[in-house]
Amino acid sequence: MNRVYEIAILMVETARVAARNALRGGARSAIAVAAIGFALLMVLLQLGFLNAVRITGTNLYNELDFDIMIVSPNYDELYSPGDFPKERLVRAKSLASVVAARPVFTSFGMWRCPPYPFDPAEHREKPLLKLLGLERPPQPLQRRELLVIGIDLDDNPFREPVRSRIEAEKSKLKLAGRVLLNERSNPEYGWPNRSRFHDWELNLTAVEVVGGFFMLRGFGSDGSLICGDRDFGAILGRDVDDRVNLGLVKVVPGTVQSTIKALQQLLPNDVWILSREEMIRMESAYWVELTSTGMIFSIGVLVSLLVATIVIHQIVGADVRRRLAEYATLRACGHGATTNHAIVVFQSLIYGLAAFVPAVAGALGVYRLTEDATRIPMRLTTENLAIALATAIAAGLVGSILALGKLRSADPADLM
Amino acid sequence: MLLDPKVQISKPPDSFDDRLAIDAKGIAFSFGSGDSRTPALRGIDLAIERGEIVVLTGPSGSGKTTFLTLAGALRSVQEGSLHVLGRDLSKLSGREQKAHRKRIGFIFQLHNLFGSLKAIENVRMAAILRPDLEGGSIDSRCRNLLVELGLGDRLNHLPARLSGGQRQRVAIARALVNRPELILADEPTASLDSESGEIVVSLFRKLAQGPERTTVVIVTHDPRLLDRADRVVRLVDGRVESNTRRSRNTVVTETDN
Amino acid sequence: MNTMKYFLLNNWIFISEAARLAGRNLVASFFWLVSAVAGTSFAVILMMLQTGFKNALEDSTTSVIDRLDGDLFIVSKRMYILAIPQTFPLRRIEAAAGFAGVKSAYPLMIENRRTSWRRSGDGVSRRIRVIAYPPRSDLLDIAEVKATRDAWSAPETALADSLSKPHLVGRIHTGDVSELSRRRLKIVGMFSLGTDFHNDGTLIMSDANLLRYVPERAGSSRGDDRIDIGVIKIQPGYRIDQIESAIAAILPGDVRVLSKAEFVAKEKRFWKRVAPIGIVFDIGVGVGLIVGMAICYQVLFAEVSDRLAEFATMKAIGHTELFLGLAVVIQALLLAAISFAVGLAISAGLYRLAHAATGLPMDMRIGDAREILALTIGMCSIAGLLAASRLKTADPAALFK
Repeated sequence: MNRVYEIAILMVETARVAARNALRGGARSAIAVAAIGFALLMVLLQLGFLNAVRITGTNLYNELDFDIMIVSPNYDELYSPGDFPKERLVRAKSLASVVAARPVFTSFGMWRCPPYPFDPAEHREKPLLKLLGLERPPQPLQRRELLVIGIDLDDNPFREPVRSRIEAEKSKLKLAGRVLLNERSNPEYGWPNRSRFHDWELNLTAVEVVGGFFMLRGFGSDGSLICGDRDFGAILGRDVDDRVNLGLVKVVPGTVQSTIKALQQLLPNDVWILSREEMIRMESAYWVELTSTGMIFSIGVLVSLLVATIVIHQIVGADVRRRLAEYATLRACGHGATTNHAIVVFQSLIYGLAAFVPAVAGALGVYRLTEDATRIPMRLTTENLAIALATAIAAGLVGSILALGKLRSADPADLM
Repeated sequence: MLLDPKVQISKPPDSFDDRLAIDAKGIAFSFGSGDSRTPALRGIDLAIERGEIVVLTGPSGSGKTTFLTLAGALRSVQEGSLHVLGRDLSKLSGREQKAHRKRIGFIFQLHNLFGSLKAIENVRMAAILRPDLEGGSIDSRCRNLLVELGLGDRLNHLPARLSGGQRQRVAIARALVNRPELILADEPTASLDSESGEIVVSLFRKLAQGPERTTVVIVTHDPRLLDRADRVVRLVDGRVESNTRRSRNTVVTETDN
Repeated sequence: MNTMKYFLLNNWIFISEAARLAGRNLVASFFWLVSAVAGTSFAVILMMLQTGFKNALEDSTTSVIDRLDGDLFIVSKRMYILAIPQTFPLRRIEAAAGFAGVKSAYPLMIENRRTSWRRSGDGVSRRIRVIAYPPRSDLLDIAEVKATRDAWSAPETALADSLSKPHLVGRIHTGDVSELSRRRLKIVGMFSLGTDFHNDGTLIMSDANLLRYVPERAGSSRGDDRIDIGVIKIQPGYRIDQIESAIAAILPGDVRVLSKAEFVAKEKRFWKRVAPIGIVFDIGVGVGLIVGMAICYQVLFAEVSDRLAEFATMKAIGHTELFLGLAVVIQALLLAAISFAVGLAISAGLYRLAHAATGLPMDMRIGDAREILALTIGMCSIAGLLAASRLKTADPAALFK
C-alpha cells in the first residue's frame, strides 16, 4: 500500500514538473506548440480530404434503409451500377425472413440550371471569398448533369430524415414531373433560387421542384434529385417494371447472414448479394483505393503523417535536449531515470494536447473555407481526430525518449 | 556601412589627460529597480594609466566584473563619470559604444569559441573588424599571433580538438588580434597550465611596454598574475578597498573601510 | 571612387565571413543537419506533391483535346465538359466540310458510359473510355496510334492505353482477345495517353467499329450518327478565325465551333469555376509552407540558442546584430538550398510512383519547381529572420561572470 502511495506521489510530482516546464517555457514552448499545431492541422486537413472521398462512396447508401443489397454483377460503383431483372426482388420477397425488397433506380440526367446571379441587381459580394479569388463567377442558364434517384413512392426505401421529407411531399410527387432537389447540391443546380425559378427541365422534360432533401455531395456527382419511378421511367426512357439498379432488402433482425445464404441459393447468378456492411465497405474501398482522387488524397494523408511525425518528433526532442541539464540535475539529486522518463512522457502529452485543441479549431475553420470554396463535404470524424491525436502523442513520445537516451550518457559531473 | 559599426575611431579625445586609459570618478551602478534594486558599485574612483597592467581582486560580488562591463562599454554608466581611452562613455550612443569596443580586447572566463570554426577562423572573426590594421593581411595577422601564443601547429584545429588551455589561448588571440589599446580580461589564466600562463603574461607585458602602451585590466585571483601586475586594486562591496602599486610597493590611495 | 572601393571591399569581407560562419554552423552537427534537412525537405515534398496533383487534375482534363490534330472543333451546344457526353448528328460537320479553306472535317466519338471492358483475368467488366474516329484521319497526334493505323482499321480491333489503371480495367496487352460490351474485341497495339478523374482506361478504335459496339449511336442514315466532336483542319494560307466565324454563321443552334485555344480554355474554366478542387491543393501547399516555416524556425532558433554565448561574444568585440543576423539568414538559405535539392529528388521519385499508380500526368514543370524553390527560400529566410531576432537577447554584458 505504501508503495502505491509513493508511486502516486511521484506521478503527481512529475506531472507538476512537466506542466511547469511546458508553461514556463515561454516563447520556445509557444513556438513548439504552434509548430505541432500546424503539423496536426495539416494532417487533419488531408484526412478531411480523404474522408470527402469516402463520403462520395457512402453518401447515398448512408441514407438508404437496407440490410442486404442486390446488384448486377456488372456493378462498378454507385454511378455505374448496371441493372438486373426486377423479378429477382419479387422472388426475394418470398423468403420468410425478408421484410421488404425495394427497387432503387439511378441514372445521370441533364438538369437545366438557373443563371447566376439569378437577379444581378441583388448580387452581393462576399469580401473574404473575393479576396481569396474563390468567389463564384457569373454563369448563364445552362444544362448540367446530376444523379437522378427513382423510387417507388409507396414503398419508401430511405431512412430518416430523407424518408419524412419524401413522405411529406408524397402526394405531390405522385403527379407527373415532380421532383425533390438535394439541398446540398452545388448551388449551380439552383436550390437557393427554387422559389423564383420555374423553368426546370430534366432531360428536356419540364419538371417542378416540390421540395428538397439533404444528402452529402461527393466527387461522383455534385447534384442529385429524387423522383417517383413513373417519372424516372418516362423522363429517362427506362423500363422501370423490367430492370432495376439497386435492390434494397430489409430482413427480420438477426437474420442477415442466413438470408444472404438463402438468397444466394434462391436467385440465379445474374445478381450479387451483399450485406449492408459489405456494400459500404466495397464502395468506400472503390473510391478510396481505386479512383485517382482517392489515391491522390491517400498519398496526401501518408505524406502529411510523415511530415507531422518528423516535425513533432523533432520539436519535442529539441525541447527535451534543451532541458537536458535540468534532467541531469534531477538525476544528480538522486532521482532515478524513471522520474525523468515520466516527466518527459507527461510533457509530450501536454504539448500534444495543447497543440491539438487549436489544431482542431483551426481545422474546423479551414474545413469550412474548403467546403465553401470547393463544395467538397468536409467532416471532422472521431476516427480522424483520434488519428491526429495519436500521431501527436506517439511522435512526441518517441522524440522525447530518443532525446533522453542522450541523458544516459550525460554525466552529472559535467554540469559543474 | 551596415555590416560594420564604423564610427570614426580616432576622434579627438574628450578628456584632457591623455596619459590615462581609464579615468573613473564616483562610479555607482545598481541592478534592478525599486525594492529589488541592488547596488553593485557604490562610488569608484580609479585612474589607470596607459601601459599599466592592473589586477582587480576582491570577494565575489564586490563589483569587479560590473566595473569591467562598464569600462568595456557593455553597459551604460548610471552615475559618475567614466572616461575610457579618452572618450566620455556616458556620451556615447549605442552605435558609438560598439565602435568604441573595437578598441578594446575582451577575454572572457569561458572561451566562447565557435565550435564550428577552426582556431584561425575564430580569430579571423575578430580580425575582419579592423581590415585597415598594418602588419600584413588579415590571415597573416591571425597566424602570427597564434604562433606567438604557441599554437602554430593548431591553426586548423576545431576547438573540440584543442585542450582547455589551447582554447583559452585562441580566445586570447581573438582579443589581441586587433591590437587593442585596452584589454579587459576575466580570469584569463584560470584554465592555463603554468607554461601557457607564462606565455600569456609575457605577451601582456610585451604589449604594455611596447610602442602602443596597451593597458591591461585583469580580474583574477591567480597569484602568478598578482606578482606580475603593476598595480593591484582590491574591491570590496562596490568600493575600492586598497590600491597598491606593486613594483614600488607603495600605496597610491587608501580608502577608509 | 576609392571610398567606394573600400566600402565594397570592407563589406565583402563581412559577407564572406558571415557566409563562412553560416556554412560551418550548418555542417557542424551532423544530427542537427539531418533533422533540419529532413523537416524542411519534407515540407518541400508536400508542396511539390500538392502542386503535382493540381497539375495532374488540370492537365488530365485536356489531355485528349491537347492531342487532337485540328484547327477548329464542332461540339454540341450543351457540351460543358468533354467527360460528360453530349452528342450531335454527323451531318453538322458535313456542312462545314464544303467551306473554302477547309482541308478536312472528321468525326470523333468518345464513349465512356455504354462501353465496358471484360478483364481477361477474372472476367469482371469495367467501364472504359473508347475514342473512335476514321483511322486514316490521324485525328489523335500519338505516334503509336498513327503507325498502327492499318491494324486497327480491321473490324473488332482496337488499341489500348498502356497507362490504363490495371487494378480497374486489368492489364491489357497486344494480342489480348476479350469482350467490349459483350462483343468480341482484339487488342492489336498499345499507345500511351493516360487517365483522368473520370476515365480509368482508354481504347482507340475506328468509328465504324464503335457503331458495332454501341449501335445506339447509329442513326437511320450516316448523317444521323451521333458524334461528340467534329475536327476540322484548315488549309495553309487561310485564317482560322475567319473560317471559324463563317462556319459559326451557317451552323444550326444545337452546335458551336471552337478554336483549340477556346476548347481548352472552356474545359479549364469549368473545372476552375464549378469544381475548384485545385484549391484543395493550393491549401495543401499553403499548409506545407507554414509547417515548413515552423520547423525551419524551430531548428534555427535552437541553433542560435545553442550558440548564444558565442554570438554575444561577437557583439562584445564590436560585431553588429545585422552581421550576425546575416550569418543566420545565410545558414537558413543554405538549408533551403539543400532541402530543396533533397525534396526535388524525392519528389521526382514520388511523381513517378503516383503516375504509375494513377495513370495521371505527373510532370515536374520547370515553372512549378522554380515557384516552389522561391517558396522554400521565402519560407526559410523568414524563419531565419525570426530566429535571428533571438540575437537581440544575446547580452555581451552577461559574459563577464
